[in-house]
Amino acid sequence: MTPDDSLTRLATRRQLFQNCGVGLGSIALGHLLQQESATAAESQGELQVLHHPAKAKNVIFLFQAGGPSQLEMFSHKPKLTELSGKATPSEFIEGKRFSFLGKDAKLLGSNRKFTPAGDYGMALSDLLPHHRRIVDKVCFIRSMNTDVFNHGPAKIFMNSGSPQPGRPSMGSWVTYGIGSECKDLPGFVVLQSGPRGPRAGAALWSSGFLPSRHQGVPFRSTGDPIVNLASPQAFTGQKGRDFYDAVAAMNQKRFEATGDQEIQTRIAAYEMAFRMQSSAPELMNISDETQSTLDHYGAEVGKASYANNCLLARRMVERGVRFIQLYHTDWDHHGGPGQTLGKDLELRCQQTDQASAALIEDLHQRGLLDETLVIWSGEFGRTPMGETRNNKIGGRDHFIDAYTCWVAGGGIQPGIAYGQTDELGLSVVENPVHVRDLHATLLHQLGIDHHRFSVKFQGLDMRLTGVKEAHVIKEILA
Amino acid sequence: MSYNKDVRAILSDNCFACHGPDQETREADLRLDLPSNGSPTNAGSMDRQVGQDVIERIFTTDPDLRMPPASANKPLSKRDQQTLQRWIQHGGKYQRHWAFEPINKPQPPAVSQEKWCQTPIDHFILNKLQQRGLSPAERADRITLIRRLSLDLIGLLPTPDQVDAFAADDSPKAYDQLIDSLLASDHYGERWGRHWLDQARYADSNGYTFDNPRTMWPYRDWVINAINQDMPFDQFTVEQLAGDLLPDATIEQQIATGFHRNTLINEEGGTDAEQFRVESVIDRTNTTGEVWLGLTVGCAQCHNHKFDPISQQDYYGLYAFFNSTEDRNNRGPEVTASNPGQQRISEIDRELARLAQEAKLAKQTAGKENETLKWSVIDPIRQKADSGADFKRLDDQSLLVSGANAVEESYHVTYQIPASKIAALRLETLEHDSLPSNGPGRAGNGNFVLADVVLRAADGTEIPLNSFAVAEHSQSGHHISRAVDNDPHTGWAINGSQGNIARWAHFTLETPYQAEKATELSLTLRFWQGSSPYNLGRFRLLTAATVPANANLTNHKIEALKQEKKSLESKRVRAMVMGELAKPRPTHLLIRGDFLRPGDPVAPTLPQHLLSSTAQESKNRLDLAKWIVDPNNPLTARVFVNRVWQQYFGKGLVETVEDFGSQGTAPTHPELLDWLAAEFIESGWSMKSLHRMIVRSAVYQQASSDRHEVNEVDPLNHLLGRQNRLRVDAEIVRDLSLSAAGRLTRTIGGPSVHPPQPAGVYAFTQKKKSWPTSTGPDRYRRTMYTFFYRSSPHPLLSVFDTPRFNVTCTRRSRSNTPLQSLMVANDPGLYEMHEALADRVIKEKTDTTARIKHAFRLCLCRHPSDDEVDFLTHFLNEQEAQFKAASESDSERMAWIALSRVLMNLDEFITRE
Repeated sequence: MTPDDSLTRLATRRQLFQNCGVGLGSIALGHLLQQESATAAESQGELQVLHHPAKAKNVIFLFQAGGPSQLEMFSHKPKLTELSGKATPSEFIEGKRFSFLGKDAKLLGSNRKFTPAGDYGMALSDLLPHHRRIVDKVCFIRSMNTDVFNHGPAKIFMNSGSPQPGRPSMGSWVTYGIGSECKDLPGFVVLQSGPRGPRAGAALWSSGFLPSRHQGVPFRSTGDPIVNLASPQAFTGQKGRDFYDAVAAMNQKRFEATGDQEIQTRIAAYEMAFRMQSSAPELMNISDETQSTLDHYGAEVGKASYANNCLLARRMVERGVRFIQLYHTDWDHHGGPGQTLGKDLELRCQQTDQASAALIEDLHQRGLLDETLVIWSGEFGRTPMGETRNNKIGGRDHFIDAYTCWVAGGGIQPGIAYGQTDELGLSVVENPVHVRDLHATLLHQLGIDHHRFSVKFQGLDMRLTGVKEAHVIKEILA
Repeated sequence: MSYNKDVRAILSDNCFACHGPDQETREADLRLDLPSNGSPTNAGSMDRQVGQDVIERIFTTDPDLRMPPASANKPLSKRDQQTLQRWIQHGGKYQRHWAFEPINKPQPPAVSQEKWCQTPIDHFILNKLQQRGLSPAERADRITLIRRLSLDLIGLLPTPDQVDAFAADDSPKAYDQLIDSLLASDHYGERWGRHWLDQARYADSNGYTFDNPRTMWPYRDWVINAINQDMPFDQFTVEQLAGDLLPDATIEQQIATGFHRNTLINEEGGTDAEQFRVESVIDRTNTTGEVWLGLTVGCAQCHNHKFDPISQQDYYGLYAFFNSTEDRNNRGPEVTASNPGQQRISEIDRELARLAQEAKLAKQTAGKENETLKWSVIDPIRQKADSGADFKRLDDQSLLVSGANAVEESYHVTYQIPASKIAALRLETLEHDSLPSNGPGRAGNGNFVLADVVLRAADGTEIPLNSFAVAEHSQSGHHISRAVDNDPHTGWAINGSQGNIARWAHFTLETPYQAEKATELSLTLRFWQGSSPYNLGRFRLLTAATVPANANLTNHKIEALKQEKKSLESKRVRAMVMGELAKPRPTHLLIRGDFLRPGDPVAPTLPQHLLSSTAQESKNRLDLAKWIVDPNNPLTARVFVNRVWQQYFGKGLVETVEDFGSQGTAPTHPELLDWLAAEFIESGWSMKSLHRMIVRSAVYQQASSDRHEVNEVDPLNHLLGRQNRLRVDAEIVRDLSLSAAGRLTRTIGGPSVHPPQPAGVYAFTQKKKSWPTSTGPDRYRRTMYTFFYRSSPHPLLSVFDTPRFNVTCTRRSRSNTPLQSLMVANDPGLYEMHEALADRVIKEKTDTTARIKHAFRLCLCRHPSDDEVDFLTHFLNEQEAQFKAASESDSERMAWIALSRVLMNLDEFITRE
């Protein structure tokens, strides 16, 4: 065979392997053509049968990292405004722990303007003009509470049900349990916007003791979306394909010699890697969206932003990615420079309000909201007491006893607000919802009973919901 | 019918949660984990009546009475019901859990095919195989064996020459000699040290949110050295758990205690240091339990263990041993592990002592001079700025600058002076309302950077200033001496904790200037900060006829030496170690594991009742460490040899290497496990002897290919009717590339390095980490030396299952994913190795076939088959043709890179066969 001969055959690589007389090609390539089986190992979940019929297929978690202030956004407390500057009732402060607040912290009212929105008149502040449109499509949970009050541990807790790193995150549990329907992309994808990555980093999407193929795969908004996705410059195009074919053929040969099934998994993994090289950039390229869709989100082609990430989340849902998590950072409004409840919180809302609302509307319009559970939450909320930084009261400390999140789609009842706090927002007075309950509910909507979904590790039956009691929030299910 | 073999698992899985050790969840006051009249340490029987009740309740059809209750969702299978019934009918005899039984060294069983056996290990294995009608696999070929042994013992590839020599050596001793030479290699300490570092949860950063770097590598060096020296495992244990408490503990023994300083530190603002101290104590307790005892003691942190006889009281008794250490979240003891500047520091100390004498003398003689020191303000008469800035002369003879403000700026001021002697200048930088932040500088914060000071006589000749100066205050990194160092890009600045306020600086003349009559002097002040204007806003100049004491030469020398000493000391390597409080910290049981809810006080107590080891007084970590390695402790040796076995065969004899309790899996070969454990202790806890024993065995040397007849009987290969093919660990994936390409830097130990990593790794971390990509030899160090940030490890490590080391890891998972494929195919750091391998074979061989064979053997050791050579030749030619067609300048080399890249991406390359 001369080089010229072989050049004419580039289009039909299969022949190369068959014509070499080495018998390598037929089985390997036959295998590669069966994409279904090639990716079976990737996409199948551990649960052979769902515990009950699922209401949701996919999850989008809009993680507002830092702890957004419910009192400036969702939780209208006129009484708090009235008592602003007054001492906090001592029965409340006793025995509580905060990051920075002392026992002499004074109440701080919000000066935001709240007006009713939606059919039922949910009070929303002027920080969220776009959220007003989706009030009737989402369920606000105003009685959230969690266990830990430092950012890192609290974020890890929200993700894994434990404040220490080392346990699997929600997305890992879900793909471990029910796999993913996407053949060309990972089942659990993480996106990030804001000035920096979230505290605690990769611990937040770690697969813990579950197999590492279930860990979240960060997609970056610029450059290659996945680390090392692109082939080395000289090996793109046909040479890229040749590489994968040659590796497959040689691996197949070794499989025939050793009979080790693991080699088949490796062949499949390389084939999926090859497919990801085109599917991931295709996913990230939002220039094929209409201008009106881009405008709806406030997304701009080629820009890294929360808006772009919300749009990408919808595109991933369309492609069957099971669990998509967005982080938007810098919601930590203690009052110091860059952390004020004034212009800094405003900026954060401007960056996220429109796109969060657009995502819900867009999913709804496309008929995807029913099967997609969307969660908007921080790792905790903020105190009704003001925090003093630089001699000015301009912020609030971390607060774990009562804060607000919202959930939508995926079989959640739209247009309601669940749970209630007292008139100062200091504690939950009705229908408390713990992070564990949110986890239980999330799994429930996906067809998983959190009690029965456990993995043995270090002698214990480990669950996302941990050992303390957790309840599915039945009242908010449609 | 045996309790341990047949019954315990059924009871443990189905009954113990409500009828087990945890009294809080115990129902009907019934315990089924113990003989009715017994304790965990003695065997006894189930009470007759209890037994009858149990049978009745598991067989009844009444759903209200039936056990386990419907709510448990875990009905007993018919088989399990019958097993329980038979056991109870035969007297319900309990046995103590196997792992807590003393180790009795069993006799290797007799076997019929004795010729196959190389070591006593093989008797145990063969016996089980034969019981199931199986025979062992044939021995792997010699080339597979040398590759296997090299990967297992040192984690690197043998060279083709080494392979050929071994393959050609017919001597019966060849294999043993190979083992000895590999065990003698310093890379052995790296390979097995890395496995131990997994258990030590070694990392180079603090974890949690900020995840700042820490200096832990001296501990890593200690591990590598200890393993290379074959430090006995009992000593290895004692030094790591309690080296600081040994009499006259050496620095090395203290560094060993870094084992338990690998816990996380939370540097986030507003944290409660006590909370994270308690978390590290909990982690140390749990890690010790898992690594040495194979017990999941962590279960008892919040409540009594549901399956094993470990009460919450026991847990905090163990916890108390670790609760009296000095470290507290971000603070803790350190020792100087190495001090490269020590010699110079000693010199400096001697010189400082001499200068102190000199200064004392100088002070006595200078006393008079100082009394006469008098500063006189001199009068500016002309001034000009390069930028054209405006000057205004104020009443105190200072100059105030306004108007133009340039990044590169010089002021030229001419002063009128009377007839006088000038030995020193005093520059006063002053505040003014018109300046930003009140000055004295014109930068936004009132700072300035004075880069140079030049003094000239009326005729323009320079009057040299000494290259040392004194200032009331200098900003860190901007010492006053930088204004007289003739470097235009360094200078004096004044920011500090008090902000920018009025300051002075003293300069001295090399030789005093004598003005015989009134004349003029000119002063040039040059400013430079680099990016924005940092110019002075208001200043005046004074002169003196004598040198101020604070500016004399001796003091300057002293100052300079102190600076040098400080900078040398900052290069000392300080290792984090354990230290014990003089007065023990009281320990309380923590209710539900909550550090804010202390319960009853607890003293350090060994979980004696678990084991029949000899009681001894136990007060501190040293006592605990000695108890752990007491030869009578039945767990430590079993747990350790099992983990070593796991590394060689992919699975432990007890598959749950971390759990030897009743929820763990039973050993596949209990007698072999005991034999190995006993042998290990008898050998004086020699790790090298243990390795030698295992790799000499026939079972280890079997071929790893799939065997149909084994699959039929034993699909998971528990009986080891063949070896297993194992994908190598993450670090070794890259080490193999380095060694095949001939690029490996073989230096052992030292600080962590920064090999290339793909861009954008820190897009998802709170802080961008510093990653000064190593150049030169450090770029190609073994991957175990790669700097490990817990929040963002090198991507190669995370995709190939290296854990994040937030907690101990006794067995890594071994996944096989598309991200791994992308990593090996495209990572720039590995691509460098694809290139290097191509260059190597081009250089080392001339004709195509020889080159292909050489590349193949550098990667896979074995000779390629003719088919494979044909295939690769065609591939190479095709690639070259394509590069030619694309007018690639170096198409031949590119084709070789293509071929190297294929070889390094093969499953076989990263697999120990």
